[in-house]
Amino acid sequence: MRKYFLRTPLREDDVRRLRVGDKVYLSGRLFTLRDRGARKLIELLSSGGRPLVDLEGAAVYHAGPLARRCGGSWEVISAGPTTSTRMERYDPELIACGVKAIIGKGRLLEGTRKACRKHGATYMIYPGGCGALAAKSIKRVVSAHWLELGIPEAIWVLEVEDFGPLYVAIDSEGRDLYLEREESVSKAREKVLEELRSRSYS
Amino acid sequence: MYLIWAEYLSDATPLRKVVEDSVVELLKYINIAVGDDVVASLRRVRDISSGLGAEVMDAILRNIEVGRSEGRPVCQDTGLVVVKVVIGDEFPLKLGELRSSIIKGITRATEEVPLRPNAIDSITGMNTGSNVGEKAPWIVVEPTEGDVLELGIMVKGGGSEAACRALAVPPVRGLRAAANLVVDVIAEYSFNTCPPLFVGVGLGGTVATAAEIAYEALFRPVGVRHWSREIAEFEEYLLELLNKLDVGPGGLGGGPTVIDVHIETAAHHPASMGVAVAVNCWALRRGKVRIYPDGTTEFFKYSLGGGVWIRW
Repeated sequence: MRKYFLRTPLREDDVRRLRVGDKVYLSGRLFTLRDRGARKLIELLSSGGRPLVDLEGAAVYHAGPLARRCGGSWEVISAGPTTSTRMERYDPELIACGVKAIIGKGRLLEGTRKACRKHGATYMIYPGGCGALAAKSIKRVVSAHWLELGIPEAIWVLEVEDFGPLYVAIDSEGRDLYLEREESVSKAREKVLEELRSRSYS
Repeated sequence: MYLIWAEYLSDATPLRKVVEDSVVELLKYINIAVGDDVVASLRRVRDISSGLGAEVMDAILRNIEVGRSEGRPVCQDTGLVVVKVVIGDEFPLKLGELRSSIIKGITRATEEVPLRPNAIDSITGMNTGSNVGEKAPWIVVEPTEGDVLELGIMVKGGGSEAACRALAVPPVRGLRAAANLVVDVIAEYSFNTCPPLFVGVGLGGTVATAAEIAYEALFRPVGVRHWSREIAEFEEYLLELLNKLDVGPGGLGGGPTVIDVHIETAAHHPASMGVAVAVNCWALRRGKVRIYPDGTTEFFKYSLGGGVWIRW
């Protein structure tokens, strides 16, 4: 496992150097995206609208922060990842528009894998549930968009410093950590089910 | 003048207010500190993990430290609030009053802890902004004898909730069906559920009963087995079985997948039996408080394998 400190906007050659299992700390800016906020952004992009955020070299964070108003601005109290699987279908388009890193948690599918290989992007996971830890490396809320969708689903542009640990789960060579893990889990599952069948129940 | 002051004093802590304050305090405690049994079991998991699994456990333990020392909820997903009330028939509050005090407590906690507003109206799709909405909080009431109120609160995050399942099976297949369901759920969904996990299983009753008792099972302290030896052994058997799946912390292998399995049982119909599995991420956040008619309260302090009621 190698360790990298990267800064946004991310450069393709930096991202192409990352391999599955590598550890990354990210500085610069990232923007959150989930559920209705994600759908709305994609609709905006496909209707030819100008996105709210610069997508070139951007890092997308699948998260819905716990934030509170603090004077004229916002304070992020806790902000771990949400399950990326729900937003998987938007990844190829985002990556085609210049996004270089998807950050979240959980299993992604072929669409993201292909897009990462084609455009030199990566999917990195943040340990699930670690919202307090993540919030500590969020230095500032740059802006919040579409707050009418509610705090979790709004789009938050965040300034971060050494945001991590992030672990590369899909790299630009198309390797997928969870795909490999899934193969081993499904083999184990067959064995376990076999054991269950042979057990007698009172 | 003295009389007015005395009235004000006695008015200041009516039982309704005690209930409201207890809800706020419980929500604060479980979101920021998590239970001591949970934290102790996570430390044990770290000790026997390696590789990426150990890295994930280190992050989780650091996260808990940050949460506790800075008063931040450990997870931004402060869940949907689930309330379980065991109320003695001589407890002096009416159920309607109890309900509105609980709702006041949740609304206040949303501002004070703070909690993320997580209640989305299912008709309009709009966030209510307050963690309160139609049938939210969902309050389960179990009447009993006596004059004590026991208030249990759990916050259920969306990630692990997505893996929960309930169904009805022929009773003759009860235990086998439960085992199959749990294995399938953990094998298929656990990459997304923030393992290492806590698993509650409901066995018996209707599908609704099974689901409710599966959540209730998660209130039991980590390491405490079911009172019947047969079910206790089945809990241990399931735990061992699930850990053979080798999902590991964060789904990355190198350590335990499931920390504990708790089963609750209920009588069932001769022809059908409810079976449910309630999956919870490592951040198992639940707590209990007892409220007496004179307004005194006791808080259940969880520890590995047990816990004690202490004056609050």
